[in-house]
Amino acid sequence: MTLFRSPGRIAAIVVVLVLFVLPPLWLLLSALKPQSEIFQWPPSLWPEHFTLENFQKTISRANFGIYFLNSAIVSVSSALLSVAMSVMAGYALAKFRFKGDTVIFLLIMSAVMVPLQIVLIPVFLVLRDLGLLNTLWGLIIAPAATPTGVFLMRQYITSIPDNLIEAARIEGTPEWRILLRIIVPLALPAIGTLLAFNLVWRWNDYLWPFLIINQQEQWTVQLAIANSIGRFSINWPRLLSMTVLSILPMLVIFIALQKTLMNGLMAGATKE
Amino acid sequence: MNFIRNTAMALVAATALATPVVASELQLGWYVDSDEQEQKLRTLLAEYTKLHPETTFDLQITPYDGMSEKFRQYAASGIMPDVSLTSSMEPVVRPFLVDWAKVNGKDWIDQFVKGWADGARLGDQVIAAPLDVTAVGIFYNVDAFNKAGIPLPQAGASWDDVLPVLKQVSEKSGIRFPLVWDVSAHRYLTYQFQYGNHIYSEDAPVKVAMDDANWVKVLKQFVKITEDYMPPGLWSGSSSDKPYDMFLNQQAVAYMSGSWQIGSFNDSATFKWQAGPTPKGTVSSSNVGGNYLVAFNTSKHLDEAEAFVTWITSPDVQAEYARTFGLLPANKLAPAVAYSSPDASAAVKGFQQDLENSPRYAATDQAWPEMQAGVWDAVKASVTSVVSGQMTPEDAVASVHKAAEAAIAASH
Amino acid sequence: MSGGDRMQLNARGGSAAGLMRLAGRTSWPYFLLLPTVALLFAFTLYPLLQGLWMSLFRRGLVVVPQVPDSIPVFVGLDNYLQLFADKDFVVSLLRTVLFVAVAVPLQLAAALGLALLLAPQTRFNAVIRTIVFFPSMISGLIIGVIWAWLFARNSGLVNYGLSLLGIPAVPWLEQDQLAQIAIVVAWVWGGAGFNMMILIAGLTAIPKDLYEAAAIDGTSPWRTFTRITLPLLEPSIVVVAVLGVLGAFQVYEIVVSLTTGGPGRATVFLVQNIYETAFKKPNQAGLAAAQSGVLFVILMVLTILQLRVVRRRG
Repeated sequence: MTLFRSPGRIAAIVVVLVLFVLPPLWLLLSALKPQSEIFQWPPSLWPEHFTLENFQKTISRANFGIYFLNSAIVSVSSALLSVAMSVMAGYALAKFRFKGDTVIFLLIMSAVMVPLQIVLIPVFLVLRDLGLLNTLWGLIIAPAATPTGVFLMRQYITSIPDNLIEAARIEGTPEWRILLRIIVPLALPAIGTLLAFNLVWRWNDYLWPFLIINQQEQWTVQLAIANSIGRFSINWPRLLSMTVLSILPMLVIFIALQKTLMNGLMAGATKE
Repeated sequence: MNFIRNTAMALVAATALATPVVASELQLGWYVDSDEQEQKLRTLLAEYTKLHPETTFDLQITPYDGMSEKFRQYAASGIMPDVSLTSSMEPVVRPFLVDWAKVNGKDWIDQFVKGWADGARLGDQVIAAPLDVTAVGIFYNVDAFNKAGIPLPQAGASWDDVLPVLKQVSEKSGIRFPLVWDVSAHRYLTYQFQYGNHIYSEDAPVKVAMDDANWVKVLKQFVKITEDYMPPGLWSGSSSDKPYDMFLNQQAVAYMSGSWQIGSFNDSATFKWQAGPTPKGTVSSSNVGGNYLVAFNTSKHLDEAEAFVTWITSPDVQAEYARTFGLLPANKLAPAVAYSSPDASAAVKGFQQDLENSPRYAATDQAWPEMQAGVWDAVKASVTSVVSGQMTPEDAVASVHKAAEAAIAASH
Repeated sequence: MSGGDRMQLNARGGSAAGLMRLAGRTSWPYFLLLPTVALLFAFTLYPLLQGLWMSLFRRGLVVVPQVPDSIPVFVGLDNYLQLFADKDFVVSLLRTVLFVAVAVPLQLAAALGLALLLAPQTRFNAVIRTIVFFPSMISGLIIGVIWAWLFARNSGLVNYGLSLLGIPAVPWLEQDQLAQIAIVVAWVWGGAGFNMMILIAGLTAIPKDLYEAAAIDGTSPWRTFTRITLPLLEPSIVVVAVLGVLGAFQVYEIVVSLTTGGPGRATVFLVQNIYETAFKKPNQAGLAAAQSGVLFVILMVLTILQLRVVRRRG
């Protein structure tokens, strides 16, 4: 795509900025206001009395570090597991023709055709029977199979030319080598993107931790945030400051990913 | 050989005899509104452990909104904690609840506030232990009244008297809205109670006792109040304005809520406030609410669980619990509570009086288990549908009537 | 697309030796798919099958012997027949269909526009991309909280801004059509970053020399877009469309925190209706399961249709 610095493009960017910058900006600024100012009237975007007390209170809370540690362990492990499975499954669906391939594909996709809230009780019973309740392993394994990820990888791997694979087969390269040495490097942009998505999805999971975890020591960040919503009122300072803190790792991941994406995408663009 | 074997056996036997009673860790399901509450709770639990060293606690905090889902999981899986805090006993979980009439005798429940205690009965059984009680009532922003130079409403004033006064105060003191009201079926029902309306009969067998025509009349009045005195759209069903935050930030002169707010107002209000007197309709009525403690009969430490619950609902501990958390004790025999400030004590006393002076049906309606089967939702939906123009008041009241009948049919 | 590629694969492996090697590798795809299918079966498909089985009964969600109405009673297809006479269900279904028809194309257009705007690899674009991706970094709950606060009628920032311009407060969430629009906007906004990244990954897979050739030929930007970009972007567009339809049909979390189904019941969509039938009405779990069954069939049909369209063109 050629760059063009037309006034239309600049106007579009301004609109995008307003729509997308305002909410996170408002979130961050509200977290920096003292409690009495958050709901004052007339409302203001900019804090009158800048304060870090909300953040201090949240961080000094017992177990704060543990929540982040738990979320990190679960997100990274589950994301790695999920991406590995998605690459394998996506490759199988994209480059192989075998008995039942359409059925299996639809079977995998059917898993996102039912909202989790509805099947909550049967899923809970499965977790109980597999002994995954009250464990971080449950949080890692249960959501690891993502039909969305499989679908993404399938679509992307489809565009990898067949002659590369065929040539390797004729040379007698074992299948696992084809997967690791040919497919994975060529699918790197999609793999990187999927990894970022999975990290974000697992980091922001609420239903799974709610189902599986009972002990405060095993809480994830999202459970802690959800507990800011009390019976009669919302603990705004805690909700806001914890949300801001929980976004920071996501930001880091995304920025780091942009760099590798840029390199990976550059390489992908010059293939063929 | 024999000598060694015998000595070993003797040692084993001696060790077994010398081992103290194995400690039980009780799992408690609980919801809190703030970190401070959680800390106070832990302190209270530590106190019990000091008295009974063999009992320790595993506190499992859950958001209040998640409690009914948790109860369903308990019922479906058979895995549940030993004790749980709850505000209602849903049908799915009732078979698993300990019967306190068997544990403490059938007269034990009579020492608690009658309206709330009745809600713990299921036929001959008592399936929950009342922990604390709340009362619905109004709060006033005293600073606003003083600024406007208008005296506060007196006891016995009616809504017709008080509402125009609130409007005057808001205009003169520059406060945005005269009145905000918790958007909840429970708080709205109080308004109906104040005009003699209620849903179910006061005595068994349970029957729907709605005077539909009167319900419609009062509903129309209420809708008019939301239009004339409350922030626009507050009762539309999708409003994201928060009455609590609005009152605390001085955007409203009066706030119809309840006694549980006393604690947080004490801590956070930056203005002078007063609890009650709550205006009346044709009668003066509040509405009871609160929390229960339930013990599950699947518990492996049933004796310790029952002992703990009995302890925390005993008169002296009730007084301490009420003072710590700013709530009303559920146990009538609790000694008088001295709250953290004279304002708070006066407020609580006022609410307690309101409860005692309420008509009988204010307590019996929600004591019927049938209320839990979708009736609350129907009550709230009846108001939001009318306010948002999707239903006529007549149809709305008819839908509440229908839901109340369906609930009776579903349990018989 | 993929069908064509597979045909090619078989044609190329035409020699006897090639066919033999192919046969030996036939179990490989099954092995690759095993972990995914096993996990999905345990945690999603098995519960789904249980749910479909439940739809043939009238029962409570949790079967408790002491509550007689919760004990399953076989009713066959009765639940399904009852559904289409149920006004609440039909209304929520139609409303959901309308939502999908409006929101998914809108999201596709928005994501495409953003992708085209921000695909070039400049540092400035990288920053904007991060900002656009922000909604995907937070949970649906928080998205609802943010929008509910911004659009609160009496204490929200948007109405306050309008009041400074002399415009009276708009009941964003409390008027039927406006509330539905608000949900569309919040939903599109929430998914924009995610879909934009998918399309950008697809855009950068298009070889640069195709564009260079078109430039040399003097092709107009519009023609370049429709003849080169769009067709080669098709796999990614299919992903956005299919996932979009699946997600839009199941919209729930964002509605709950934005309007809770209000005003009145104007924004109650299908999943909320199912949820209320299952959890709020006594002993209607079989009916709720039937509703989920209908949702499942609709989504399966739509997915198959969307994928068929792609395969035929390929």
